[in-house]
Amino acid sequence: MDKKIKAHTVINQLVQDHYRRALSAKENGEMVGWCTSNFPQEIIETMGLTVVYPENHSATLAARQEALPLCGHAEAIGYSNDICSYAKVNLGYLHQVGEQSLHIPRPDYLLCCSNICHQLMKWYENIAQELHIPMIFIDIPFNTDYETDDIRLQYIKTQFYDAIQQLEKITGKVFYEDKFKQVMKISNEVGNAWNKISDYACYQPSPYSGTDLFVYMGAAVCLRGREETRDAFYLLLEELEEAVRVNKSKCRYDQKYRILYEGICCWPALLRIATSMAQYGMNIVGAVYTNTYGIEYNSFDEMIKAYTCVPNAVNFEKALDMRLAEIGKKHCDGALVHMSRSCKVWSGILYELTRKIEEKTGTPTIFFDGDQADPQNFSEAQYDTRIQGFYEVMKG
Amino acid sequence: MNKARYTLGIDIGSTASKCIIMKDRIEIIAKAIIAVGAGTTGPFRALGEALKQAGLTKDDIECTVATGYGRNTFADADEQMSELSCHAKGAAFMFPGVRTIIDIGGQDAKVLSVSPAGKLINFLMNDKCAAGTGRFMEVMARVLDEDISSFAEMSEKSAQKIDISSTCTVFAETEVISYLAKAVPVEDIIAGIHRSVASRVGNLAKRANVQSPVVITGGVAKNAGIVKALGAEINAIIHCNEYCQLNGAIGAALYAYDILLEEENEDGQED
Repeated sequence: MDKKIKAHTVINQLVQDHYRRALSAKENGEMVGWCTSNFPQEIIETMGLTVVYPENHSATLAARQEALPLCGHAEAIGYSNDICSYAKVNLGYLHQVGEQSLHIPRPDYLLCCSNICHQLMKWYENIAQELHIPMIFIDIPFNTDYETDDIRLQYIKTQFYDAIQQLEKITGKVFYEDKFKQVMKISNEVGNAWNKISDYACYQPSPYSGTDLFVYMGAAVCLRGREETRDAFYLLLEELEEAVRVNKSKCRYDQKYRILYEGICCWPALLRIATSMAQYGMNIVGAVYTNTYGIEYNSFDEMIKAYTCVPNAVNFEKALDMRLAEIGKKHCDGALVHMSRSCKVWSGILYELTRKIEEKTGTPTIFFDGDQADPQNFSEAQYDTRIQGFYEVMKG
Repeated sequence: MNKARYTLGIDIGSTASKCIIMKDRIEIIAKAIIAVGAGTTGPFRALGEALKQAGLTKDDIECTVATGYGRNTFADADEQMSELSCHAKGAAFMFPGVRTIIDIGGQDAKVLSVSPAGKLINFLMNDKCAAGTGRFMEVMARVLDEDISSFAEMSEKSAQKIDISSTCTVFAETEVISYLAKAVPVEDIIAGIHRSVASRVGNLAKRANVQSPVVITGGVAKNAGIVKALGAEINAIIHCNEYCQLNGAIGAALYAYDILLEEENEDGQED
């Protein structure tokens, strides 16, 4: 009897294939790019370029406990301990490719978009200079206004077309408008499916464990313009629909407390976070972090606008509204806040953000110190006390 | 006459083990503090000393709750609770109506917000490192070659204000050494150390929106100089008593009694 392959397996396979494809493309003489996670991937898919996403690679190595020597090596060659740890892992990897469990090919060009952080620019500039390769940069500045005005849109659109021209020169590949429309349609479907997956956590119990979403996010980061990703997410949606219908969750424990996870995933401690969630009957049902990749739009202008609305690019009021909406929609009992040491952009707003969240919703917010990739910034004993205290506060 | 019921709370911290035995939830009949914590013989010595003081054996204790950094490894505990809840419980018992508790332990500082009914409703803890905690004070005492118990009295004699500005314990130690090298009086340095701790913990308390009455617990609270400096920093009267270091263990012993009652209620319902 044929047993239907589970979405979990399909999504994992997609991401593995993505890395395998990139390595084999490089071996076959094709140019390969390195790309930041919120670069308008529609350009890449339209032109049929092969790229990998160093942030995802760094996160994967961190989750597999392979980040520490790479961070150390980056520091040893002169990078500060205080810079982004995704950058440290990547720069360390660039210089010390070794026994890592996941590899990426060396880049021939770089694609960088500043909407999630400006340190990316320096990270990529260093690589460009060191490897003597071109870097294509799209500047999406932090938006001090709540909405994105036309002047900003025009500024970004101009760069968008310029990036295409540069890429055509570098890679010899052509940007076809018809293909672009098709890619926008697929990307939109992927974004829509991702948002629907996220919304399934509105159910009580949520049909899946929130930490699984962090894992599925790999496909949303690396492959969100592709039909196979849309189909995998549709498969996941079918499973979630069925799980809700029969009131059976993929999360195997009793979900007593519904949690908003705030901040970047603490990848080195993902397993500890998952086990502590199970230990105390908590489930992560909301996260602005994972929602980042639910990019939906109906036109080219809306697509550009969507890329200006990713978490680190929006002003405080909008950032707060994103959290309040998530807490309201998902009926969160508390917010677990990850103060990621090496992401200054995200961590910088968290004290005021949580103060406002508490003031407006009465939701308890608990901080823990950690890092998106550098395990040196996470103390398990300190985390354990905080998470147990969090549970005891919610229990009352 | 009903038989007395004994519960035990043990707070296994990073630098000390504290044990309390309570009778019928209201009377503290034994207390012990051993100056070594998790991973040492401290917890067992504290337990043995408390039992001896109370004239009891382990069999007389109906329920034991462990708390503190070493709570998960104490085999004699019936349950374990975080020190956050235990400090809230202990302080609400000692100071009815308390709304804010500042606990400074060996490796962390906490500010707890408590409901009018004495329930923990939220908390903040020190971030990034253990500056402004008990271990910081121990390091400073060592470099000054002074007994930490004399700090409060010595700081009262300070005539000149000096600042210890470094957050890092090691760098703060260097600052202290440089003051010593410049022949700055030890009394002034100690007062500076107190203000340094008070500033760091005070900022945490302000972020937690301090509400009075405020109580301070933990081993560092034994230093009246810190309590005074912290009071000035947050502009509040800070209450403290002789049980400040034992407060977490008291909360644990109280939780142990609650567990007994819950079990009895469950048994009653089953009957």
